Parts: sequence; structure tokens; C-alpha cells
Amino acid sequence: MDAGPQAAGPHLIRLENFEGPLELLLHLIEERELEITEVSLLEVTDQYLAFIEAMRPFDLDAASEFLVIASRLLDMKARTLLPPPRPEADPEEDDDPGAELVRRLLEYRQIRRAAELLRARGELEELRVPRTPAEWQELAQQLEIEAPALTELLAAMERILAQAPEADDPELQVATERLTVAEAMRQIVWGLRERGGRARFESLFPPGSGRLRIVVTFLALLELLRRRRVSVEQAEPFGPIEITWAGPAAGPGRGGGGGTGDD
Amino acid sequence: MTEAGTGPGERVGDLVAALEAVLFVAAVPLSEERLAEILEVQPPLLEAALVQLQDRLDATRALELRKVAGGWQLVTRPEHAGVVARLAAVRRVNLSGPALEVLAVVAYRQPVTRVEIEAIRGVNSERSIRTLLEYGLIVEVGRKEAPGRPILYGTSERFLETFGLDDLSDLPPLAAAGEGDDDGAVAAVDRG
Repeated sequence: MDAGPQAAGPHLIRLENFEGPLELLLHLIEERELEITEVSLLEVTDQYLAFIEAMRPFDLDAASEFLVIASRLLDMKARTLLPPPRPEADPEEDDDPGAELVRRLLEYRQIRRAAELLRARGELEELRVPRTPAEWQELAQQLEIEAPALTELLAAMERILAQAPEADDPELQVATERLTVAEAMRQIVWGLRERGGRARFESLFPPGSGRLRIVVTFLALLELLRRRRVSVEQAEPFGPIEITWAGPAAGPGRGGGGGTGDD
Repeated sequence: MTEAGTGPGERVGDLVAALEAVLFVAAVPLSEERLAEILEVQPPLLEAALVQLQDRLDATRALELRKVAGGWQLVTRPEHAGVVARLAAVRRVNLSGPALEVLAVVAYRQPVTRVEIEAIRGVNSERSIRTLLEYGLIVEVGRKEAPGRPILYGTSERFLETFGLDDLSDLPPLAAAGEGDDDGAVAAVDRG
């Protein structure tokens, strides 16, 4: 099996068949039944370069990844031709391109095998067919998450509204502060953040909150629920309702907008 | 909710029938907690019923009880795949090689960022990631506390169902990275 441009011909291996340089390298090594070592890499270097050569005209976007590895290989090859550095020089320094490439190839092969395992499992599993969940089921699942919580929430909301001052919060009127739902969402997320991701439903409505603030805050809470940023739990009937952060694991940790974001 | 009076034997018999009915309608995997709640029984009784239902299904050889994604589900047995496919187009997830590789990286290394996936594969993987997100096989699970707070990906429940896994510990074991060239790992595919 000669290396070189001619070698590419009989195999009819086309570069387009390889998604990346690691896949190509692995193929070249496995085709010759070599172990993944630096020596093997040197053995397939010429073949690898021949493929790159055949790839002209370069589509730079696609080729750049292949070229990076090509330069690594050439670097390795050059080192074998040069006299070895004094052994005591920089024993710490680990810029050995060969070792790094071997490590990456081994890891890549591991993932490829894992992909094969998954494919095999998937094919077996395809033979087992469940019933198709009916549409009502999806609905039921949504309701399961939201409906019981919602009725409880509405009840709690009514209690709070009943205690609210009849007129709108004078403070709000005078300052003509207009609390928007987005702003209220931010406030809830901030509040949760300060309390470690968990808060009592009632704590969203400080005593003396006007009806406007209560209603807007409640709408904001519903919006957060809909976006699955928070979840609502009630351990027992008529028990306290707890709001818990359910958004990205990092939690309401960064800025106020973290929880009200972009979807 | 336990009813004294009826013998455990009878009770289990009724329970097995009810269990089968519930699983039939459910179609999706139901957790044991959920089943216990629906059937109003204690977990040990439910377990006994699950075992009996499994035996009964084995005898009729049409359906089987599958433990998947943390729940129980009724599925047709593999030997009927042909006729079942003639009835209805069976949902297939035909993944390309690259997408499957990305899925493997996510499955075994989760949570991972796009950059980490690409470092392992040595190639841009954005498209495959998008495909897998569309199929619902992977999901965003958070953000990495690193510059730019990149998105972290993990596998979904749908992934577990598609590959018949009960949970992530159920993934086929990975060959050690340095392991020799024999393909022992591939031969070890779980036939169950």
C-alpha cells in the first residue's frame, strides 16, 4: 500500500466522505490495521497529505480544519528528521504535537464506537412500537403541571386581593409608576434570587400592595410559569404555596433579565 | 388505601388487569410512583402486579412491558415489527453519522458545550446540534460558568425512550479510550 497521491485513486476515497480531519486520519489508520500511535500517524501522513492535495480547489471553510491537522503532521515529521533536542531541555514542556494528536484520536475513536453502540441500540428499540400518545394526553400533561397549581394560585390570589386596599395604591398613582408585566417578572426573579431560588407566594405581594401591583405581579408569575422559569408547589391542600426557580440550572443568578429572557 | 378483607391474591389479579388497562391508554412511560397513585396501591403490591403482567404478556407474545425513561410502557414485541410497520409508518429517527457522533458525545459527556463537542470531533458541529435539538433528543440544560456563558447540552427523556434506556446509567459501557483495536465494545451491545 503505497502512500502518495496515486494511493488515493484505487481506494476511491473521497474527501467529501469525511466530515473532519480526525475521521479521515482514523480511517487511514484503521484501514491499515494500525494501532493509534505516533508511529502510525507518521506512516499515514503522506496519504493524508495526498487527500488534502486532492481537495483542490480549497473550500477554505471546510479545508481549514484539515489543514491544521496537516501542519501538525508535518511538524511531527520534521521533528523526526531533526536531531533530537538535548534530553534535559524543557522536560516540563508538553508541546509534543504527536502525543496530543494521539490522545485526540483515541478519544475520537471512543466516541465513534459509542455512536455505533447507540445506533445498534436504536435499531433494536425501533422494533418495539408503543402506541401513539393521543392528543388528549399532551393536554393532560400540560394540565397536570399547571391546572391544580392554577386553581390554588387563583384562590390564593383572591385572598390577597381581598386584603388589598380598595383604591389603587396612592403611591403608584402619585408617582404614576407604571409597573409592567416584564418589570414585575424581573422583580420576581430578583426576589427568588435573593431568597436562594425559593419564595412563598405571599411574599410576592408585600402588605399594602395596591390592586394594580397585585394583578400585574400575578400576571408576571403566570407568564414565568408558562415559560417554565418557575414552578409552583403546594405540599398539602390549603398549605403555603411555594414558588421555585425552574429555569436554567445556573438559576436567577445573573442580572435581573436572566429569568425573563428571550424565548 | 389498602383494603383489608380481600386476600392479596385476588387483589393482585384485579390489579394486574387494571394496570394493563392504564398502561394501554397511557402509551407513554409511567413511573412507578405515578402508577401507584393512579391505582391507589402501595409500591410492593404494584411491583407484584408488574411482574405478573410481564408474565402474562410473555405468554401471549404480542406485547411486552418495557422499563424506559424511568417508567413502564407497553410496546409491541420486536418479532411483530414487520406487520406493525405495514399498519402505520413507524416513527423513525434516522440520524446521520455526524449527528449520531454528536449525540454520543452529549450522551457520554453531558453536560457539554458546543465548543467541547467540536474539540472532540475536530469539526464544526453546529448543524448536527440543531438537528438533535429539533428531534428533541438533546436539550439545553443550562449555561456553563465560563466566559460567554455558553449553552450546556444534555440528553432528553425522548433520547432515553428512543434508545430504550431506563436512565443514563443504562448507557452501554464505553470502551476505555486506549483500548486495543478489537471491537469488543461493539460486540457488547445489549440485546435485551
